[in-house]
Amino acid sequence: MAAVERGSRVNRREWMAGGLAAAGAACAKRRQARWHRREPVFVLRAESYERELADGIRRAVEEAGIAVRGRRVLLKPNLVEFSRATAINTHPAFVAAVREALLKLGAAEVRIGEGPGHRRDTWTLAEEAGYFEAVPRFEDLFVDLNRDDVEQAGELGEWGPLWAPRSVLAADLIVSLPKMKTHHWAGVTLSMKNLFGAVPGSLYGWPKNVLHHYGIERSIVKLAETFAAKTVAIVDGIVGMEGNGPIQGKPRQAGVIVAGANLPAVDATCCRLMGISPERVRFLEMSSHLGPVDPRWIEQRGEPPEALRQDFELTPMWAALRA
Amino acid sequence: MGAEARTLLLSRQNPDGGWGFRAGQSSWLEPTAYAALALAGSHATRRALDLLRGWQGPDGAWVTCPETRQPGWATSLVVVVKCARGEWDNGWRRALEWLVRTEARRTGTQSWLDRLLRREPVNELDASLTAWPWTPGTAAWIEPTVHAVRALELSFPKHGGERLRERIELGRRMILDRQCRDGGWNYGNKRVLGEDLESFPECTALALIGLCGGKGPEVERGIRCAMDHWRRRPRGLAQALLRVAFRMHGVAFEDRPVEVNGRTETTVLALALIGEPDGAWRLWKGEAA
Repeated sequence: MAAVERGSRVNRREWMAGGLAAAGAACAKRRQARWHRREPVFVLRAESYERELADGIRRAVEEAGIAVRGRRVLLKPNLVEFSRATAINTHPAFVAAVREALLKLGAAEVRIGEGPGHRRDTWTLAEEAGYFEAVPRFEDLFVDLNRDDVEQAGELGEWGPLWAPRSVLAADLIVSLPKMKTHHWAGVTLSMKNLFGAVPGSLYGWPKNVLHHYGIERSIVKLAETFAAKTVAIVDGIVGMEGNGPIQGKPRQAGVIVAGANLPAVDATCCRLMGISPERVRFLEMSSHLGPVDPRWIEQRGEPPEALRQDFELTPMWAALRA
Repeated sequence: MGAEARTLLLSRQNPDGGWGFRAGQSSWLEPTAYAALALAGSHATRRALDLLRGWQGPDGAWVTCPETRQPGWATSLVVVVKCARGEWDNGWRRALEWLVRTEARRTGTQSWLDRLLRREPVNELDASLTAWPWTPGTAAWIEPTVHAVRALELSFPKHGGERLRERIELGRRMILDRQCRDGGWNYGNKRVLGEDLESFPECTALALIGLCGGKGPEVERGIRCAMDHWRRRPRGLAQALLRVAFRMHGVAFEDRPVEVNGRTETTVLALALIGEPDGAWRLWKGEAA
C-alpha cells in the first residue's frame, strides 16, 4: 500500500507554489542564519538485527554525543503499515535494542510512542509488526500518539494551531527512530519526516491531511522546528527501503545505523549513504536554520559514509536526487 | 462478551459524562459518541448528551475535545445518536445543517497539459465528489464521509429536503468511486502514481456501513472482499467494524466475539457492543430509529 497522503495535481501545484515560496523564505533565512557549528553524526556498520545490536547502539549514542542520563525518553519509531513482504517499519528488534541501550546509559525512563498515518488501530498494527513480541512489557511502555491528550505546540499558519500529544511534550528527550527509506512525495523519509507520527490523528485524521495541505516539506520543517531542541535520531538503516517508498518499495540491505543529535545533519548523512544528494532534497534545503547539510559542518564519526554508500533505487520522479 | 464490554464501557464513563479513548483519559468526542451509541437507550447516554450540549460550537459542529475547540468529524456520530434516540432538537438541526454545508476541498483534477501529455494521474479519483473531510478545508476521505452519510440518511425522514438528498447521493457516489481493485476500501485512495492500492479491513467495513441499504455489483464485491478480510481473522477495530457491517447487510458469517479487556480502546469496546446480535447496529442502520 503506498503512502498516498495527498490529494491531487491541484494540490501538487499548490504545494509546489507553497514549497517554492517557503524555499525562497528559507533561502532568505539561510543568508541570515547559515549553520556554522560542526555537528557530530556517527555511522556504524550493522549487518543484522540479531547480533549484539544493543551494544552497537550504545556505542553509536555515545560516539554521537547524545546525552541520556537521567532523562525521560520517548522513542518514536516509524510504524506505518505491516507487510511480511517488505520492510516498512522500524524493526521491532531495533526498537528493543535502543531501549535497552538507553537504559544502560542511565536514562530515567524509556517509553515508546507512535501515531500511524493510515491505520486506525495502532495497537493491532504494533502487534502485527512484532512489537509486542520484541519489546518486553510493550503494552506498559507504549502510548498511541494518535489518541493521547493534546496541548498546543505551535501554529500551522492558515490551518490554525499545531496540537501535539502530551507524551511528546512531556518527554525530556525524543529519539526519532526512522527507517531509512525513499519517499514518493518527499524524496526520502528519515528522522525529520518521521515526526509526522507525533501529530495526533484524533484531531487531524487518517491521513493527517492538514499536513499535506500545509505542504509536505513545510510540515516536515515545521515539526522539526517545533521539536528539534529536544529530539535526536538513531536511524534503522540495517534494512531500508528503496524505490516507491515509504510503503510499496523494496527492502534494501544497507547495513548501517546512523546516530546524531542534529536532525538535518543525520538526514543529510543518510542521504549520502543512500546515494542521494542532500542539497537537492527540498526539506533539507529549507532546514538550513536547523542544522547543516554541507559536509564541512558535519563531523562524520565512525565509518565514512562514502565507504558504505549504496545507491538506493529512485523512482523516475526523484531521479534528479541522485548524487 | 456483550455483558463484559457493557460493564467495561460503563465503568469507564468519566464523571463529566464522556469517555476518553482509554480508561482514565479525559473525554473526547469520538469515544463519547461511539459509547453513547452502544448504550443508546441508557442513562449513561443521556449523561453523555448532556455533556455534549456544552461542546457544540456556534457553527453547529461538536468540538473534538474542549481543549482544541476544533469542529469534529465525529459530529456525524452524535447526530446518529440523536436520531437513534429520536431527539430531533435544535442541537440536532444545527449539527445537521453544518454537515450539509461542509464540503471537502476539490482534489484530483488533471490539467489540460497533463491530459495532452497523457501523464498518469497522481491520484485516480472523481474530483467532483466533494464529500466530507476529516477537518474543514481539506480533502474528502472514506471514514468522515461514511459517518456523514449515515447521519444524513437517518435524519432525512425528519428533515427532508433536496439538498440533504443531494449530499447523501454524493457521499454514496464518493464511497463507490474510491473502491479498490480488490473490492474493498482503504482510507480513500484506490490508485496512485499508476499503482493499485490494497484495501484495509476496517475501512472496507466502514465503507459497507456507509453503503448499507444499497445493492448492486459494487456492494457485492465489497462484501466479498470484507469476507476475505474476515477469513484472515482480524482483531480489534477491524473485527468489531466487520461484524457491524455484516449485520447491517444481512450477511451470514461465522461470528467470533471481540476480545476485550481493561486495555481495549473505548471505540473498539463500543463497536464490539454495537456489533452484538442485539446491539445498536440496528439503530445505526435506521431500523428502529
